[in-house]
Amino acid sequence: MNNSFKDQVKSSLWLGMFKYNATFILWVALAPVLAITQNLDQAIYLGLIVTLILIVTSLIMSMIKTQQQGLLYQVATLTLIAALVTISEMILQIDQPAIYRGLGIYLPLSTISIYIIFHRAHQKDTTLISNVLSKGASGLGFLMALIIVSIIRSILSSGAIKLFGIQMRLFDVAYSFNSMETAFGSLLVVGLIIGFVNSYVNRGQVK
Amino acid sequence: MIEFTTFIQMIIAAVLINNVLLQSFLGIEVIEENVPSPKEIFKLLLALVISVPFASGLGYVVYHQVLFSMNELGEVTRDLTYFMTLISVVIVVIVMLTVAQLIKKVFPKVHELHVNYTNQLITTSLVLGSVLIIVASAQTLLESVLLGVFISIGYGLVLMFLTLIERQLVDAPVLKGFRGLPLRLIILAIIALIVSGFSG
Repeated sequence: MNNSFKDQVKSSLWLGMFKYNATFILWVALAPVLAITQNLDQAIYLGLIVTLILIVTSLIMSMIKTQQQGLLYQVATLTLIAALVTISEMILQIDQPAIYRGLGIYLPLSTISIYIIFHRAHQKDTTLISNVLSKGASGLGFLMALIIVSIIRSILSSGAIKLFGIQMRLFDVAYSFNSMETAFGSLLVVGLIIGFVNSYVNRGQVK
Repeated sequence: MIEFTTFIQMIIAAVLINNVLLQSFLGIEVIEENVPSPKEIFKLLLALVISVPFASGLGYVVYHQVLFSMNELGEVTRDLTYFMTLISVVIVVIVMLTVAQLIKKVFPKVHELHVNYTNQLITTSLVLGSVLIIVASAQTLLESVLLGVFISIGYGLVLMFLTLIERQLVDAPVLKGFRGLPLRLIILAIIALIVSGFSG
């Protein structure tokens, strides 16, 4: 593999997953992160679906040579994303009905999250490869955020991490906080994580 | 017709217990940058109270007349509900743009205040999420429109609480990294904890 391509991949992954992470740095697409992270399995499925749709959308929209800021381009992007979400809903309903029921309205709602991440993803230039890499990296960053929040909530609410039927218990459930499963828990956990990340990123800055 | 007690239960459920911002986290994009001022929240509420019932009513009609039908024996004769996501997005975009033009013609002074929110609301999960929730839960067209109104009011109410509380904390000794969105999320967490007491 060409060294410059490897460097481009590394750079895109670093920028999309960490430096410009959609959830913890750019503060976008928070609704699924707050709602879905009760269950680690659902969070992983949603994150993977979002990443895949971002990659496919960027591939297709890169081939359309039009003014990127135009209304038609935005409507076309939104419609394409909605169509891909519909296809993924149909596949998930057949393949994983329990995950589909658990995701509820947040799978169709991910249309808006994907659209926002698509437009806010950082990219160095407008080449096809850069576009696809940056959107894919942003999707992976979103998946990473979902996993981190799910694990923390799962540990705090039940003392264990449950993943595809396997449970890893860290401490007794008697020491856990059931309220971490509720809306209060998700808002508090996500707020604290974003606060700590923001403090770390802006450390040393005088404001 | 809806009975009075059912009507009151619907109001309390939509505004407090199942508040879309606190329980379903819809419309949280609005607070990501800055919380709107109380005046801006009223303008946003005006946009929502017109748009959300219109969109949910339209979504209800499309769902029950076009996508899904049953005969007298209760057998499903048409099931195209997998198109609901795509159609909901199209409905939201059309409704938001239509309402903006309507307000421009009927209330021109309000339009220049409202137009800032049209693009924002299109990219907000609130309207789309409300349509999906209401289509799944409403039994009649009237119920879907009323739910749309009360969901908007509940959203505006919580946003107003958030604004007023954040204003009180301007001079509070909050860590620099926690100012802005992290503090707003923690305030919403506390409001969610208080409101959860209403559900018993």
